[in-house]
Amino acid sequence: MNENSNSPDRRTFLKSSSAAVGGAAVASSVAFPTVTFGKPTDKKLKLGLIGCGGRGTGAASQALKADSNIEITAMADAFPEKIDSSLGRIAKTVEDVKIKVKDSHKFVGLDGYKKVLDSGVEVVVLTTPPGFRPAHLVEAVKADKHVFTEKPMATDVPGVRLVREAVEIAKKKELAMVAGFCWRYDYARKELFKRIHDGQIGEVRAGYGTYLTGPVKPMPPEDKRPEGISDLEWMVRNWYNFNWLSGDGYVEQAIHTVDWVGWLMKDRPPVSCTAVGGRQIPAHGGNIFDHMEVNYYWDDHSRGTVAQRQISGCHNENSFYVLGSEGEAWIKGGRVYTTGKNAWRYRGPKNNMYQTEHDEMFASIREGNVNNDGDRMITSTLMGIMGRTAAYTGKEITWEEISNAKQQIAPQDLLNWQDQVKVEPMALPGRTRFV
Amino acid sequence: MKENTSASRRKFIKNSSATVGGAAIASQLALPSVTFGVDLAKKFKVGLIGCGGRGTGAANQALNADSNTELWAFADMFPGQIDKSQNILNKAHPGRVNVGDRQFTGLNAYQQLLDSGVDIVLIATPPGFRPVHFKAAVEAGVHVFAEKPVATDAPGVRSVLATNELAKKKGIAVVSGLCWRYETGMRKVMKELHNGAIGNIVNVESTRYLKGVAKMAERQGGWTDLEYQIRNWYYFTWLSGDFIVEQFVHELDKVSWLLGKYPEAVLASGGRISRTEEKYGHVFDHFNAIYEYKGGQRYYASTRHQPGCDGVFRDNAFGTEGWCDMMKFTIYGKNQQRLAKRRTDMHQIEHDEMYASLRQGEIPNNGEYMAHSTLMGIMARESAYTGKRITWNQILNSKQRYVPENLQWDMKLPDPPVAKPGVTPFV
Repeated sequence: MNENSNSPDRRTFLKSSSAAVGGAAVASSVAFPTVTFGKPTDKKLKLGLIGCGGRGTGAASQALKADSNIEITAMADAFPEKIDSSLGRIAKTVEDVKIKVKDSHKFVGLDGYKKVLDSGVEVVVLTTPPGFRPAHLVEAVKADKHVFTEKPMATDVPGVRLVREAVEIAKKKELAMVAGFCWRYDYARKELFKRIHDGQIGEVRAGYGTYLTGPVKPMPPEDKRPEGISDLEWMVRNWYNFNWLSGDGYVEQAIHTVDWVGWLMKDRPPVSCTAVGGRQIPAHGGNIFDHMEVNYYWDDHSRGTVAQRQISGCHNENSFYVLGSEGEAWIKGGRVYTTGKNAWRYRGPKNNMYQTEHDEMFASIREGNVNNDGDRMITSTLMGIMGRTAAYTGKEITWEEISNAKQQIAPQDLLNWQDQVKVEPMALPGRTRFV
Repeated sequence: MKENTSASRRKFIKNSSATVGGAAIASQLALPSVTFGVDLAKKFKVGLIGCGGRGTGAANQALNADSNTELWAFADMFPGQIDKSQNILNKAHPGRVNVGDRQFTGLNAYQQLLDSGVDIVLIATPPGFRPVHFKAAVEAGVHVFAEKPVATDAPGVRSVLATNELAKKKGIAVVSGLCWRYETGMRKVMKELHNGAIGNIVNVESTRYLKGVAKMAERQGGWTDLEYQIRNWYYFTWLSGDFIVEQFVHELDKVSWLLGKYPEAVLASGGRISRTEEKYGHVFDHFNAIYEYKGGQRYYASTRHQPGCDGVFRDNAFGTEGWCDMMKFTIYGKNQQRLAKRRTDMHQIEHDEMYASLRQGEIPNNGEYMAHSTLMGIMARESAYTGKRITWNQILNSKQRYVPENLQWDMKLPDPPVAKPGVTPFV
């Protein structure tokens, strides 16, 4: 793609390349994109980072490395100290010329994201706690930003509906929407799932994934709470422990494994799921479970099971295997392979998937043929929420039921630390209702 | 009752078999009266140890199964249970409950019953007592019907296996209350699956979600720790094994029957979130287990006891050429067929076949699978309690003992803590 972005050739290319991407993108590409930038030499891109924790810092650094003519110009976080520490770490990984964040463009507070969107950036990285994500996504695409969004995209179903709205807007406006379901960009796993889909292990009968780890950001005891901070600030500072913010450990972390299951099933939603889960280790005021196991059912009788646990001192495992009619497929201990009559092991090039997702995103933006992971990221996020809902309520939850769920746990209009959030108590299966 | 003629016996068998279904009848038509010097027409004296609902049911079925039996003795921890059981059985079988004063209560009642001249014993106490009762029965030379599960810890399973060897040596029958092995439709299903109706089995799943759970008794003044725990036996792991052992052992056994082998390892999790009050002892209310088999097969097992949740009951096997809804006796795929419409009275059939075998001079033995399927439940429970992946060899050699030794009525027996995965050690 060396053509100037205004040339007829370019137009032709866009049309034909969109066709290869799939039906969804085709319809919208009829209208010529307004937000493309051509080659790196044509235009400098400005990047905004919303959510300056560890993942946001990493993602911003990867975004800056992914394009030769880009600079970071704005940052937002709920807390001031996060911004400077993040900027310092980003600066260590990229050329100085890419760091252009003026103090006036460091936006602190829950409304900081709006200021980043108004600051003249073209691309944003959304890496706050997921409870905030739906509003950030919608506002970002309304403001014509290309988006890299970490997973999960929402913590409740009304949030998922907002995300869907954002995805549709992004498609219409031809804005990139790249999701932090990073394994989709890993060469070895891409090859494995492609081979499974091509029938290497016969028909898929069941996929089983483990996400068994120690606790993530466990809740500090109440006496560690600084005086004078609001309930909302205390929760946001300990966001992992509140399901409206994190989605629960299953939705926040094990969602990667849920995404593998969705990938395995070609992103067809399951018919229903059942789940068990609970809390064995004291939650210290948080309301998330520390273990869940979800069984997903598909109409062709294939099954997907995800076992999640965040308890220290237990057996830890993060693996995935697929039972097929003619063999097994495995992701285990960094090895990716199949057994059976078509036994195979991935020995191709290895890549840093976190970097690749940004490389491909920026390449797509430069080409004017933007990547949009929106549909599958919604399916995987909703599968996660579905599993959690089954575990919380003790109900068998169908895809249709979860798609129409009404319960909102994460308000999308929080701007001040004094705002109130109604926090549900720890779920009690059999008593917690499906809403 | 040596005068029992083949004519009257045949008549009885006709009557009783009619209610039971075809499977048992054929084997009973030819009925040798005496073989190898064993008195096959002998009137069997049946003793019941554990006179709760299941024990009373088993006694009823034993009396149904063979007209030449009588109930000879009762044993239970508590006299109240014996009275209830006796009333029910007297009504159902007038004249055949001849226990006299052979009604034994207390911790040693089982031994008194075994010493009272019984030929066959039905063991239906809480499972924690099973290994000791089983051993005493076999040592006393008494044929055994043992309810499931047969132990609540690995030392108990080892004891049952050793006792079973002794039973085989002594020619003592051991019939297990793992009743699905006697269910007519399930036998057809297994036969078809073993013949390859769905190709090679790839994976199996069981989901058994129950809402209702065992009643619990509020502690009364004057109850010792032991009495309280026994009256609430379901909620104490040493007595019930926890529900993945006590209830779910049926599913574990079905799958073991299907696969013809036991797992190499299990990875389970679980907890209690719905019944957390102290009165519920220390058992969990949900478990999820993945069993790994040699050859790559996997068995996904999920079970819970949580009021208000959805009830789900599924046993499905998936093969290279189809799948089977075992609870609906239906095979899908190229050999699609429904093998039975409804389940037969498997609790009755297990007794019918036990007596039919004994009358033919055969000694049935279900000892190995009843012990190993029990161990399969214990294995998942320990994995969930500890958070560890546990191999078959590890559990087979586990030293974790739940059942207290030297039980005394007034011993101090504090309620054990709820297991904490990652903290509770695997022993």
